[in-house]
Amino acid sequence: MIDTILNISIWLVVKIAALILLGIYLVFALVIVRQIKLMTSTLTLGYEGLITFFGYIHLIFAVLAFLAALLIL
Amino acid sequence: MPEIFISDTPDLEKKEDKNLEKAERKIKNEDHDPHHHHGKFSSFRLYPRDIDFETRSDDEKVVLLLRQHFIVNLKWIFIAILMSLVPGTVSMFGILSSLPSGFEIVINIVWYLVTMAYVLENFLSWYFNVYIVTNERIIDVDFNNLIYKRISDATLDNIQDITYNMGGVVRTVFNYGDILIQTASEVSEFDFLAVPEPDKVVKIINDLVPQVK
Repeated sequence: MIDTILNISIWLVVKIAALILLGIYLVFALVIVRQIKLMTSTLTLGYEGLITFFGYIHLIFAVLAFLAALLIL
Repeated sequence: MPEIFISDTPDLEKKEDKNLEKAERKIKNEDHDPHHHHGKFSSFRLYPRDIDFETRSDDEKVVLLLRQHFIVNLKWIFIAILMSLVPGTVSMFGILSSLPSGFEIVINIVWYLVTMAYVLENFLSWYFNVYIVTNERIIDVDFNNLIYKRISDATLDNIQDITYNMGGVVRTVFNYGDILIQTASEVSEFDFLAVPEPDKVVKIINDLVPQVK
C-alpha cells in the first residue's frame, strides 16, 4: 500500500487540487450571476442585458477552465 | 343638503405639487454645467428618466442619481491592466517552462479568469452602489460581500443637517467629496461617499427639503 502511495505522481495531486479549487471557483462564478440578478432586479440603471451577459460569459469561462484542467493536466 | 365640511386635502396636494414643480424648475435652471452629460455611466445624473428602483412608489420621481466619481475606479483599472500583462511577462522569462506541458496553459487561463472576476466585481460594485434623491426621500443602495444588499432611506422631511467635505488635492481637482446627512429616521446618518460636485448635491437637497416640510 505504501508503494502505491509513493507511486502517485506529485502532478496528479496538483491536478486534483486544481480541480477542487476550480470547482469552488465555479460556485463563485454562479454567485456572481446570482448577484447580478439581485442587482438588476433591485435597480434599473441601464445596460442590464450587457451586464448579465458578462456574468454568464464569466461563468462559461469558469466551466471551460475546469474542463481544460480536467483534460489537459 | 348644505355642505358642512369640505376637505381641503385636494388643494393641499395641488399646492405641494406646484411647490415640487417650482423646485424642479429651479434645480434645472441652476444646472448649466456642460459636464452634466446624462450618460448611463455618469456619476451625477439630474432627473434621469430611464432609471427605476424596487421600492419606488408610483408618484415618486427620481431627482438625482449619484454614484462615486469615476476617478475612484482608476486604481482597480490600473491593477487589472497590470494583471493582464503578467502571463506575457512570465512566459517571456520562461518561469513556467519547467512545469509539465499543459500546466502553463491552464495557469494562464485561470489567471485571466481571476482578472476577469476582479474587473467584474469592481465594476459591479461601482455601478450598482448608488445614492438616489427623489422628490420624497433619499436612498442609499449598498451591495457588499457578493449577495448582501442593504437599502436605507429617509424621507426628506426627516433630514436635519447636511454637510460635505472635499479634503485633499485629488478631490479638489476633480471636484468630488463626501456628503454627510443627519436624519431623524431609523438610519440616523447617510454618507454619500466620493460623489461628484457635493456642493451642488447639497444645494439640490436643500431646495427639495422645504417643499415637503
